[in-house]
Amino acid sequence: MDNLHIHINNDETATHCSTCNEQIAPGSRFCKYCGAAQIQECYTSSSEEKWIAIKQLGLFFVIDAVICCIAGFTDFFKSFTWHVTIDILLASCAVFFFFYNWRSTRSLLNWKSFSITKLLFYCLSAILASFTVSFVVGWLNRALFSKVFSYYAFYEDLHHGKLIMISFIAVMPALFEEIGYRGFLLQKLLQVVDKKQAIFISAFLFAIMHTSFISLFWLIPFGLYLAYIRMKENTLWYGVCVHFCFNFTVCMSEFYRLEHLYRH
Amino acid sequence: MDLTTTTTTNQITNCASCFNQINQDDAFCTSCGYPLKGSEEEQKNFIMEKNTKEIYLEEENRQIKKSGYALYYIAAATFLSGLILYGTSKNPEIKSTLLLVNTVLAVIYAALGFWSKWKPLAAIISGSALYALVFILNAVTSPLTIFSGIILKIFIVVNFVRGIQSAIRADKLRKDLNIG
Repeated sequence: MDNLHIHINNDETATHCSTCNEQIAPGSRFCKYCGAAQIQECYTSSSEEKWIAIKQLGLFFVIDAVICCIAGFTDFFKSFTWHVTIDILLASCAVFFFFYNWRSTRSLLNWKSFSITKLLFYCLSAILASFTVSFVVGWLNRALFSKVFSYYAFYEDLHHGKLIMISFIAVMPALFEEIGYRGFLLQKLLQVVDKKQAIFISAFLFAIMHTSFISLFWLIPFGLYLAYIRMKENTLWYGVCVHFCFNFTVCMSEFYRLEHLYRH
Repeated sequence: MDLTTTTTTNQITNCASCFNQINQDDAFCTSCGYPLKGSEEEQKNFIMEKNTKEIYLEEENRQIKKSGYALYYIAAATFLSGLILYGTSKNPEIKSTLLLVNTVLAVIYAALGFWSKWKPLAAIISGSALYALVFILNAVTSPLTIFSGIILKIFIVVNFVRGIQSAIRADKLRKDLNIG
């Protein structure tokens, strides 16, 4: 049964009724004096508020999905100008929903738990994961679809192509996907479901939104990891750094591979 | 339910509502909030209210189950359409990819349907998001797919919406009943 919204007052020190303030035994579900339920909801929202939250989540998801599908699966928007426009649209959507829920999301911009060791650990794990994923996905693409996929092919004709590729693949997604998915979406989901379910849903939606079949297998664990870090550290910034390191490593390994190929 | 055992004697050891052990001095059961020292009417009302909520909860659970089944239907339909596409497509490269993608999608839908037994809200939200994305993707690539099987699509969407609403109401009822 789903008992995840209910946190029974099991704390040994908190032995007073939340309604009448009489002393009660630790772990009591109800006060023995006044009968009031001793439950604390993590996020007190009524059924109506939950439904409104779901509708808002749905709107965000549909807007994102329509933009991503149109950009990825129609030939009309393949130019660089459209690519920039689509990225700006997606970023604006994430920022709009984030600021629309400013009261609940603003605390995520704090970085109270900053620790250089943690940051290095998270970033290093992202870099290692990125290398592994690049290797496995490259192999899968060759084995299943007999093709070599390159991000750089899209940017190579541009002036400062590498720099532009890094900004559009490493910097922008790291910032705006975190704001959208670990910022707005995860925070809103917490009004509806408990922490574990919110982490799963946000990771699942994040993964399917990329509309890439092979990527699904590593995007779900990656989404789970990012959402877990965001929940554990209560800040967006570790996630932004991890996401950046992951995508930046993808860019760098592609540059390295291309140079290696050119040399031989 | 035998209410007299809890109202008249002093040797009560178990609550008449939830049957958990209670302390004789308590005015309310610490497990379910039953008014141990309340009037007979208060006790009857408590039990009645609890029973009503339990009936509502059962109804909501039935709707949640239906939405879980909808995920299985989609899984079966996705797999079937994968097979049909595989059989009818003339391009050998595309047809195996289509079958693979549809099979994986079907497995995901089925897994979400299975998961909906334990975490219905999360499973239905994830399932409907995937369904919506596939719908949008199909609509963008070939707009005519919007209208194919529209009645079934509406039925599925309505089922998902009802499932989510029921799961929310069931959460509230479980919280009221303090069960988990």
